[in-house]
Amino acid sequence: MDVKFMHNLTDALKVAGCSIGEDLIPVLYNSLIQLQSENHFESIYFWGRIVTLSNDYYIAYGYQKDPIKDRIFFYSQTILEWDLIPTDLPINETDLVRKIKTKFNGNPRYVEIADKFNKSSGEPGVVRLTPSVLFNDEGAMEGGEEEYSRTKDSSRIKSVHLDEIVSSITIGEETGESESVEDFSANKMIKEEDRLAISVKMIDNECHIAPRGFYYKLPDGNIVKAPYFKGLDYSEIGNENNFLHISSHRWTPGKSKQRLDYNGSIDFLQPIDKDIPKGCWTTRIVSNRYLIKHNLLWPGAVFLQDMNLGIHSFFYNGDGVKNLDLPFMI
Amino acid sequence: MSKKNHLLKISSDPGWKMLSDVKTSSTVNHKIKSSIKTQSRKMSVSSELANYLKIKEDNGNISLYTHIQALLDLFIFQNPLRPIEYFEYYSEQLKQYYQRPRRNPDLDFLNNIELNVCNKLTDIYKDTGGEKKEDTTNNFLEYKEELQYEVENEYEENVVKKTNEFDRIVIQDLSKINYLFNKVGCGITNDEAYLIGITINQMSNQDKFKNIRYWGKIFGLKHNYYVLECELQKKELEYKLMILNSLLKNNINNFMDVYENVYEHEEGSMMGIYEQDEEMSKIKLSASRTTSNSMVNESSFVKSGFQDSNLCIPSFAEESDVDDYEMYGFGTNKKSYFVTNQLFDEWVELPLLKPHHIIQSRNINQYFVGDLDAPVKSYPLFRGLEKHYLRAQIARITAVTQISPRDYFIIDHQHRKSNNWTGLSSFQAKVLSQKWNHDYIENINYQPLSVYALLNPTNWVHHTPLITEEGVTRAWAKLRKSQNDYETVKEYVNEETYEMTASIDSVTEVPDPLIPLSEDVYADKVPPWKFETINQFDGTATHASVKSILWPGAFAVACESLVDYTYCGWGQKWQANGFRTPVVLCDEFQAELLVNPATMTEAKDPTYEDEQLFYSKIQQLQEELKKKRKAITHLTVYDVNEEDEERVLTSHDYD
Repeated sequence: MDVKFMHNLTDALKVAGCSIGEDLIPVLYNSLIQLQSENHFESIYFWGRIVTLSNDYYIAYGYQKDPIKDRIFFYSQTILEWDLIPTDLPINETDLVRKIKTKFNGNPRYVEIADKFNKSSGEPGVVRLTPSVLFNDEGAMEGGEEEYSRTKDSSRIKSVHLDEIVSSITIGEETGESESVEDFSANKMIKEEDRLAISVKMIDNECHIAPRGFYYKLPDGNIVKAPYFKGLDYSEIGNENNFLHISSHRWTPGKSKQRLDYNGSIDFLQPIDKDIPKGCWTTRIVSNRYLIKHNLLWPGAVFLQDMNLGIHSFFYNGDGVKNLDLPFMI
Repeated sequence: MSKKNHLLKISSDPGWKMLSDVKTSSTVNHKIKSSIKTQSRKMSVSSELANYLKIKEDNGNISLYTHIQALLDLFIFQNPLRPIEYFEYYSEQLKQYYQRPRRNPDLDFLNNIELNVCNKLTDIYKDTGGEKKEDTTNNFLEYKEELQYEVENEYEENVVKKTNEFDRIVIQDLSKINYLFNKVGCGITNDEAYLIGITINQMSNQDKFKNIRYWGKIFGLKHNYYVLECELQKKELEYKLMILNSLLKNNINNFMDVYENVYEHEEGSMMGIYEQDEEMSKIKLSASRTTSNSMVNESSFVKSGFQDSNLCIPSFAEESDVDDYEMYGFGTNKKSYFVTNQLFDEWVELPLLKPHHIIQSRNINQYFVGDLDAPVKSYPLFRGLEKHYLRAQIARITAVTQISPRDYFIIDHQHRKSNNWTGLSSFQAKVLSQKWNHDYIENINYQPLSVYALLNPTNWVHHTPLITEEGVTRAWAKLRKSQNDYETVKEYVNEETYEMTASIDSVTEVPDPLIPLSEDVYADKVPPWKFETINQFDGTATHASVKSILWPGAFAVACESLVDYTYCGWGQKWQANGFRTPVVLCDEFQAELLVNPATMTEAKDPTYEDEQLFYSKIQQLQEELKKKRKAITHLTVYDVNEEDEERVLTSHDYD
């Protein structure tokens, strides 16, 4: 949610059932603008909230040039001071996050032990790695967490490209060769801060959508926001082709040419109509005014558009856990 | 002739020339040449013509000149196929293009918005405006009369009268509490709150309800549900039960007549009860697929719950528990719930809750669609429509998440014995005399706890009775049990002793205590409640809020003496380990087969002798048939006319 529109979209959040406390909004507004000016961001967005058992995480991001690739994420529990979300993450941690179903604890230093939820996976303690992955010990000692440094030492592998993190496990990725990493217990532990980073990235990759035409690709390859974009109109919102995933991880541009009114400068992102499972997006217009698109796979992820003003936004307000029961529920 | 020349002259574009060259039509060329010769005259005439063309326009704003210009532009720049052959076609297309209305972004808003919604809403506001006017005039008249007396005395008397009223209507102050809900993040928009407030006011004017409050909002895949929670007044409850009794005394065959009468009488507010009975009988009908059973079903259903238990005739053994649902106005059915998809639409009363709906809804995990009459497509089976599922989920959420600070509500001992129930059966009266078990009232002497005390689970209590495994409240289970004992006693012992037992039996049960939240069970090492402070940045106005983790979306707020709770979510319970489909319950499917055992027994295969017997019989029959046919052919009289017809036909054919 663009900080500029935060006050305008509170009603839309209420009808979507994703509202955060009203008294937080003025505080967030000011602290995020401060964050923007400190980091010289072009714009700053309030991404959402991850509800925990004690203190919730508030997530924001800003970018300096490219509105999609250069985004830098922050989290905060006090909503006044913002911390960078870790970006250097080993591959096995994303694997762990896929298996964890518990709620967030609310303490970024809390260590989740994967033992209890690892039972179902066939080989406990064996982490599959692609042969090309190398150990990378350089980044291990950064940060002041001595107590976990040992954990990191042994498990810090070449970090994953964050834009490729998806919650579903793709079989093709894993090769038959599996190496067992020496320290088993270390590989089943994950710090909540890392889990937060991975979960946020997963949600962002799978649910963050924008209306078609909002992002514009220039001939030199730079992506900019279309300055006079007025939001989708009533005739366009019924078609899922008109909503595009921001992340382009699985996207092969050849497919996009199936579209009749293909326009290379705006059709460079993947539309949501092929999302799995079918029906994971619900669309409705509430109060004769707000377009609400809920993602049921990640409960709490919502796309809003005020049809009168043309303001639109993505927002997440949930517990950061994927709804694996969805096929039973629709 | 000159005009034609000039027409060509105007279009003295290179493109046109090329075109004419290609055609090499001598006449055209000649004309062009001649037009060049008459250069001296050209200017004056062409301007004249241009003027003519510019003036010439039919209905639209497009003049002939602009049309020709546009057409030529099209030929030159777009270079279409066969310009002369399709000349009319291109011209036609251009004309259609002119006809197309210009897009007016300002009008987009009005064209796309649903106008009838706005109309309905303004109608609602108009209605309320009218009422207000009447009120003011009345007050004014009263005021005039009062002028004769001392105003102050009159005022005091009014106050006394109001407080003396037995059934005072308690209405939630939604606008006030919504302010707090919004601070927690579970509130509704002002538009919604205002509309719901109007509805609540209208309902309270009907003088039927004792207590009305906004229960919350449940999201569906297509539409959302807004839910109101209402409690009936004593006289209204009595009236309803009496109607049901009279209905049962009459023959069931007259059911429809009574039903219609009641409908006229009650103007739809009773609809819920009857509808659901009818529906259930329909569902049963489709399940049993025998018309003979239907009457039994219906009768047993209408009677169920409202009459003494021994009158219930359970049609199937497995459904005997189905009939046993809590009486209107007691336990889980103490309050009735009204729902709507759109706030300007009518509010529909949900059917009574039945225990099997609760039990079945615990097994499923399913989103609502947003249509009350939609079937619930779930596994395991849910017997009922979406409204039954909705009712069951509302009951479950209500039972678990309606909480209040300690001592805020107390059990109403005052009205314990003051009720006289007339015109009801003995069991009904007995049940209603136990009703105080669940009647909590606001404690007048409540002293607000501090915010920090409110962050402690021991200071919050459940004030709604919990639902047992069987899908009923404990008080009801006890009542039923005592009633059953009493029936069995009645069967074996004679009248005198029965009175004795009845007096002994008089229920001496303890009401459900107000259980503190600290006794709630943890769900997989996760505490079931989350306590928060709201308004953290203003120390003087900090309040406590409680979130349910088991039912995401359920909130309770306490601020001084203002306490309320609401729900805003998808109506699904959070399960620590995800949803697991329960083990296949064979009984459900076996029962269908057990109804008619004949379908289950295996038939014997025919032996060789049987087959021979069969064939011989068939042969016999065939022979008999042949004989009969012969007899018939003998009997038929030769008809001349028929033959004639045949001949005619054949001759016709050959011709």
